[in-house]
Amino acid sequence: MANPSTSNKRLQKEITDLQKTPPGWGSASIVGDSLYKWKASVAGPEGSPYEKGTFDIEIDIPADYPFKPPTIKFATKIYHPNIKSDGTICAQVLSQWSPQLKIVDVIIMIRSLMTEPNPDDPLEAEIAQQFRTDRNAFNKTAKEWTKKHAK
Amino acid sequence: MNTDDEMYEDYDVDDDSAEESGNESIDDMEYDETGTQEFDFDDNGPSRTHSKLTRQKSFEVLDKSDLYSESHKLIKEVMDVLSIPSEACVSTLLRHMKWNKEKLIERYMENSDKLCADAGVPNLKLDKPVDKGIKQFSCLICLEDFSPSQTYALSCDHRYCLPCWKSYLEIKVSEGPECIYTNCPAPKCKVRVHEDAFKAIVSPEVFERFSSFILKSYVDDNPQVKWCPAPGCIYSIRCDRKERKEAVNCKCGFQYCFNCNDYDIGDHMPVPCSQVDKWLQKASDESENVTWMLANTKKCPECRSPIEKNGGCMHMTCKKNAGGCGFEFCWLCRGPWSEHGSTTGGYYNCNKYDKSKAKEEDEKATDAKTELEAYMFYYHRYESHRNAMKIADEQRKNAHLKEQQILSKFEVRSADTKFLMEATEQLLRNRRVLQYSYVYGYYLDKKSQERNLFEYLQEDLEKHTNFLSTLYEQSLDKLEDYQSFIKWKEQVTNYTRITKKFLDNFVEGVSGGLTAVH
Ligand SMILES: [Zn+2]
Ligand SMILES: [Zn+2]
Ligand SMILES: [Zn+2]
Ligand SMILES: [Zn+2]
Ligand SMILES: [Zn+2]
Ligand SMILES: [Zn+2]
Repeated sequence: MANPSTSNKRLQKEITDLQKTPPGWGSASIVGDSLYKWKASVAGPEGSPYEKGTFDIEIDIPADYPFKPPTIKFATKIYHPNIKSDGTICAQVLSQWSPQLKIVDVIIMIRSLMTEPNPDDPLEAEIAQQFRTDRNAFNKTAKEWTKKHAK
Repeated sequence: MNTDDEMYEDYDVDDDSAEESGNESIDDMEYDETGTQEFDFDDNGPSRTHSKLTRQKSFEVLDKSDLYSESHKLIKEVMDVLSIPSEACVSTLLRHMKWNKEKLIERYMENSDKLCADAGVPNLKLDKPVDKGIKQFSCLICLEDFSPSQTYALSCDHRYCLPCWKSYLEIKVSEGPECIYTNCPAPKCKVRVHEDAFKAIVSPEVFERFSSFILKSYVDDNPQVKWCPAPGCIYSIRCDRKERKEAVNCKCGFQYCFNCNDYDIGDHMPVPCSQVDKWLQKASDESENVTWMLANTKKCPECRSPIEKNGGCMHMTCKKNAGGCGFEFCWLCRGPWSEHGSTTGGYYNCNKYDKSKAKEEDEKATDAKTELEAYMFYYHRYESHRNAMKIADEQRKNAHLKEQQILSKFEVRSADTKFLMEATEQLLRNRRVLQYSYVYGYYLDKKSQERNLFEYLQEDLEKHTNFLSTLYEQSLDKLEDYQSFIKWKEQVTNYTRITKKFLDNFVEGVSGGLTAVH
């Protein structure tokens, strides 16, 4: 199928680029010595209830990368309609995957999901309901969780 | 091939048993050789003097190459009508329009630009040649440099290296049937990857798989063509007549209702599809009640030992070596089997719901329990025949095993054991019809005139089927010598013929609206 050196070479390049120009939102690096397991520390977007929090995200990269998307999981607890309590996130986010996208693009997509939740396609129905009907209460809980968990 | 006729020449129908069956018209009936012919219910009522078992070919079994030529014929027609020279373009357009030629032409006439853009072949352009001036090209997927000749772009000019294209497309094909709707790899690009691109880029094996997914979509999107529902079957069947009542026969040997298209339902003659739906719905609604009832009634009627049903035969014995009493009884009605045998001079009616008992209960209360009991009566019989059908493959295997035993025990030719398979298949056919006859019976007006004839025909079919089943399941140990084997063989052969007649009678009777005077 996909040439294994394709994913290897590309991941190597992505890491080099990240080291050359560190992103504004935090940092990302490989876990241990496997190129296919990443960890990112992501700053909560300004203006969102996640502001001032730092969220750890685990990224698993398939052997067929970049033809197949990575899988994403929040290691930090987060109050969000599209992120399950176990940290897994709605597959919809990566369903528009293109092999042209990189790991940084995935993180940028996640940050925009933090800024703009999508309550029509929720993983946590109750949170989505609250997001729609009582935004203040939602923001309040999300902020509290951020303070408590996303240090 | 005319194996049935060969059998008729070898062995005459046993007159005694035919008469015992109470049906004199047996010898006047005509037979179809295949035994799996179609019956034309629609046009003609049944007739006693002429066989109305007319053959009718209004369906067609299609293999892969048939599908290929059909779909390509359609593509060519559209190419001609719309004067589009590219086959890959038209194929993409047709897939986008679910292979609906008329709709495609209509939309194309309305607004060809929009249709082509929606279908992912904007302006009917397939690909974009590389600009002459470019000497080197950097691929946005693998981030490596290539010479322009090692790259490819669809009409959208999103250019990638050929190795990346190959990986991209081959992974899509490995993901399954949706690969025929693969778009350009660029983010949010809606240009569709057409057949010619697949063919030029992927390996021949992968392209073969891609092509078979195109044929699959041709069948899946076509209401007149459906895959045969038998597990592992590669054929599909075209049937142009809507609401076809007769079963279709696939080349794999499976016979089934084209509308229901369900392996489990199979051929549900004589019941209409809507009644099958209704019945299955009821069966699932009542399943809890039924489970309870069945769990509490599966006991020997004499000594209450738990009983287990083996094989398709309704003749049960409460096994002494399993702690039972030796009582022989009918699985359906729990009545003594001695009242079911031909030797006692008549069969016990076990296909009718006991109306006097039902009436008595009706008078007591018109509550759900009575309804449930009436339903249980039919359900139990339906389920018993259905279970016998479920182990059809096992029965076929056992029949083959028995054939082998006969061959070694009696040193006969293999032609001498053919009757066993014939009997097996006949039993399975009868059980299938009997299974659904109880659905038919359940919905038949309880007080109607038709009911009498129906139950009469059903009873005939059921008791003869049971008789054949008992005869057929005879242990070989009881056949001491060649003579007794030959006698048994003749009996089974004759009874196979007789039950076929009763099956035909039943089918003709029911399809004729149950109005004929028997
Ligand atoms: Zn490339
Ligand atoms: Zn494109
Ligand atoms: Zn088949
Ligand atoms: Zn049907
Ligand atoms: Zn008993
Ligand atoms: Zn009985």
